[in-house]
Amino acid sequence: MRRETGTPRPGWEKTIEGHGLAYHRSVHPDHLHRPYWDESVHYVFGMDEILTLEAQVEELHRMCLAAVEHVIGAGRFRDFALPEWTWQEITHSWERRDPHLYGRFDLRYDGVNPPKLLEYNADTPTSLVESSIVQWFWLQDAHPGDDQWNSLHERLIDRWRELALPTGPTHFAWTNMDETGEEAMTVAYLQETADQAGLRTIAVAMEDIGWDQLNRRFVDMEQRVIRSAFKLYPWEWMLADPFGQQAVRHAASTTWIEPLWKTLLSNKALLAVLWEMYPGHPNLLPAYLDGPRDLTSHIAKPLLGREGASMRIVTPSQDLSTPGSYGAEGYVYQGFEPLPEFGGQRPVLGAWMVADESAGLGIRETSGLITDDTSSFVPHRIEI
Amino acid sequence: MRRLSSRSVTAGAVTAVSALVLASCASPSEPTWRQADPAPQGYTPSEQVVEDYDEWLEEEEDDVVAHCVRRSSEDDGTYLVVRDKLCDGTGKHHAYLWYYGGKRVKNLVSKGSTTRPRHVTVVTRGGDEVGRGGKISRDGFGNRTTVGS
Repeated sequence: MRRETGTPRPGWEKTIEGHGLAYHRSVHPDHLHRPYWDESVHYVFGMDEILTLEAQVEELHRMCLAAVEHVIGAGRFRDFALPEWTWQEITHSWERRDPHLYGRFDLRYDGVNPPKLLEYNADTPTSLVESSIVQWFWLQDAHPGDDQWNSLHERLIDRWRELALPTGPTHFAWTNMDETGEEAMTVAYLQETADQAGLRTIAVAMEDIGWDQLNRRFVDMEQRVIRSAFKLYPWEWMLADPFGQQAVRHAASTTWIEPLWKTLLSNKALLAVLWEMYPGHPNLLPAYLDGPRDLTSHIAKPLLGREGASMRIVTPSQDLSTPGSYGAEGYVYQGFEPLPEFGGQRPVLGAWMVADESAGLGIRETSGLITDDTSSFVPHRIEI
Repeated sequence: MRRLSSRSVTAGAVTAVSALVLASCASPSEPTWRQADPAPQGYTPSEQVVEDYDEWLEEEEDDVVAHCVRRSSEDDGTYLVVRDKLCDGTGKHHAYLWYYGGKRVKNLVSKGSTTRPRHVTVVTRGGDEVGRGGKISRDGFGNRTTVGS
């Protein structure tokens, strides 16, 4: 793994906007000089290195599924701060094997040591359009002879084809509170992959979803029954919403993607459970729920935080916090290893899963120790 | 060696949405890329037999007003209007039914239909939509800020 500089393509902004990255300005704070999509740099990998990473990511995914099995079997929902009325339905969702689509592992990787799991964004991962489409076209333009860890597009279409969804259209729901357009674009892209797989699809805002009180089912604005829905809206928020109970209790009649059981994977308590189950595993950092224990350096992460908010890094020489209002539900304390530095920036690898297979890579860089909304997305290539 | 990437990407709809998002970014305070219908208010049960009538509902050309009526009250096509709650999902009882459209005078309604009209929006006096089965409540999800991770 190495970082190289290059000359951005002439008119790159129009190009990436044409590929769907319309939010590259709106999603990024105004005061930053560096653009969100930065193709003046990229990372280069060897094929063997990528194949090794791919195998490790798939192993992590298998471990995560084993952790779900364990949490449900042992009834450890309280560790995940899940309300009691959800426990049985989460169990049913897992026992039914409600279908799942995709997820993104965030990994610390320095090119030398094994990648370490930072978290699993298994419920509502974004940066999908840039990973699947935008960097792919960059590769064709800038390094047409090289390869890329990227089969996201094909795998998403294949996954939609193989899912056994109920009859009727599949709804694609985002929240219309998002003014950056990022979520609308992510949902639009996923909807398009489903269209290409031959599904009939309908877009709907979460806010527009209605509940038919008599028939006990969700409906859209035209009162069509919602039998299956992809939602870019986290389960923990659904559970806290007025319709949360309906969504959980009628999860069998509306197939939600991602499914309810994924609420266990997108919760950072998972990190502690994994460490309990696989202590010393080379791809894990030690993590605990009851405190930092004997960790010399640790990072406290809210169980349900987002975008690097409400975190605290404690090392022998520093004590850093990021602002935010997350954490009421509790924290996980994870061993802290600073992100490696490449050219003054610190990359985080976002390794994508589609269903149960590794499907691609997206890299975000930040100058600080925590990857937050100031990070930039940079493309990568595999040297052939 | 396993092939890691190969594809022919078509991104037509994404490009179209992209254009809409870009249009909205020109005026970030007033997003224009999505024009959802205003969401109806959440369902609130009506309290009593209605004493007064909101004329604005009659002015809504595309809406048909549904009244909850007592089935046994039928007298030459005229029904007695009762509380909506008796017709909705939670309090539904066979003795009551939705009566669509028509003309209402005080607490009697006539010249409408007990069959739900097609291709129109059916609302109650309180503005709630009435589905083919029961009332639809909305605003049960959302009204938050950022989502992705």
